[in-house]
Amino acid sequence: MKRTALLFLALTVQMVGLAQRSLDFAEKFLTLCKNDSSVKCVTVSPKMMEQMVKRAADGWENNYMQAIAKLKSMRIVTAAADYYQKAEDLLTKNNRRFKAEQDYRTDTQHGAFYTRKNKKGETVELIMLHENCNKNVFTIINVTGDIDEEFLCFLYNNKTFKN
Amino acid sequence: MDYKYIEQLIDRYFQCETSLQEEQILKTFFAQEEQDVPEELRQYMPLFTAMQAGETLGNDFDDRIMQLVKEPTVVKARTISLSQRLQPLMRAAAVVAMLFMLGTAIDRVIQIEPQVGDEINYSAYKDTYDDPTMAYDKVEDALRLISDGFSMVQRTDSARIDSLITGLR
Amino acid sequence: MKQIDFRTDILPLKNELYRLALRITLSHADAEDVVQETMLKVWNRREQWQQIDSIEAFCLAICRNLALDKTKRAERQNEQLDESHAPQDHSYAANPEELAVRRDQVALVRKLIDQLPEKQRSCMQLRDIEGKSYKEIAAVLDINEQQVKVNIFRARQAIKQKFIEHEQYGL
Repeated sequence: MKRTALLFLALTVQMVGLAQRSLDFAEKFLTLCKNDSSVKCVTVSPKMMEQMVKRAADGWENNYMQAIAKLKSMRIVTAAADYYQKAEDLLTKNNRRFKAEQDYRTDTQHGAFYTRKNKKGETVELIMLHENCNKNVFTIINVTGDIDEEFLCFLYNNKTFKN
Repeated sequence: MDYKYIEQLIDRYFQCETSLQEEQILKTFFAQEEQDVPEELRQYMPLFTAMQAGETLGNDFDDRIMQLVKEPTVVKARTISLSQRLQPLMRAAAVVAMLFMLGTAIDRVIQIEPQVGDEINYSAYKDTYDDPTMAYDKVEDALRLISDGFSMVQRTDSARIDSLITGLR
Repeated sequence: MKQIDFRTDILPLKNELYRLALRITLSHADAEDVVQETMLKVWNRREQWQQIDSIEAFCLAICRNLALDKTKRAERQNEQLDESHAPQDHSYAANPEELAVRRDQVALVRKLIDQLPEKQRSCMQLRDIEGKSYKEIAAVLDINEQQVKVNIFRARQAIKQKFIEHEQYGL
């Protein structure tokens, strides 16, 4: 009896453990839009990120390599503009996990940034919602990795500040 | 806005403990308009402004040198347009605006055992492309969109502050 | 190993070479001469290019040495010691005591940098203005990284101190 109980307990713990394995925001959103073929997603896995970095080491030129080296994954989701609200609602629903940061608005575009931080206060996930009103296109860019000041600087490739 | 981060950077700058990236952050921060820099920090503006590279030699210098050197083969020269050179500088101001978003050093708490829930299950990721070149194209576009987004944040912020000021008059 | 080409790899360094030479010689005309001499000297050593770790550090080192030679020969060291002397060029502020507006304060800082001992000045130029790493600066000045850090530390502290002094005096 005791052994069965222990086994059951072990199984439960393992299942809970699996259930706690997380998804990035894009995955949550795609699950929400599961049967919707108009929602497309491009996935770049950690393995692919590594491959790109390796290619750069072999002399393959590209500008964002240093920024890419700090990323674990990237997801690019595209859908029609009316999905923006859906994404926003999902983020609000999960606001303990994803924190709303800055938003922006121009004549033709608007969007917002969200972050997820780990226990150390480091940003490990960055989500960008972006709508191009003219083209009626909604994009989610979801990256995970080392999103810190250095990543930002590499994004701006600051060696071009000098002439 | 919390300027403790900048104050910390300044202290570390004078102790010679800052990295190049951090020094660039300071230069960018103090390159803003005076009204955007908090009063207690304005005293540092001349210092970091003086660090901007200014003096340059004209194109006639190039011609003179190439004459003297008389290089045998004509090689395609890399030309960078003025707008290309200015672009990164304009975007850099957006970096400062986004800094406060990232959870800087002072926000970091004492390390606790990371929960399993924080781990993302990367093994489930299925790459859309097999070819790194194609993947890179998409990644580059996405990163560019992110940095454009930062710029738009900065512009929106300034506009908001402007309208706030106008509303108060 | 990347093939080094004069026009695309060395000529574009002209501006940072110019600014370093200017920082050392304090004269636009001399600085321009130094850069020209540097370029020619580097061109004449093109056999060695492939063996050099950093062509940029190589050029900067030659530039610095030529600038120092020129400075010594012109005996401008006397002028450096005299703090109230105003350099010929219009880009520098005329009189520290008259500084009030931001633009003048920036000019004051530049002048204070010019008054630092040469090693501190050059290290500060290469780090704060040109954004070079300690490793690169060490290669240019032929000193070790710790010495680079010490020079920059002293330079920054000195500028901070002198700037405060001037500001208080101005009031």
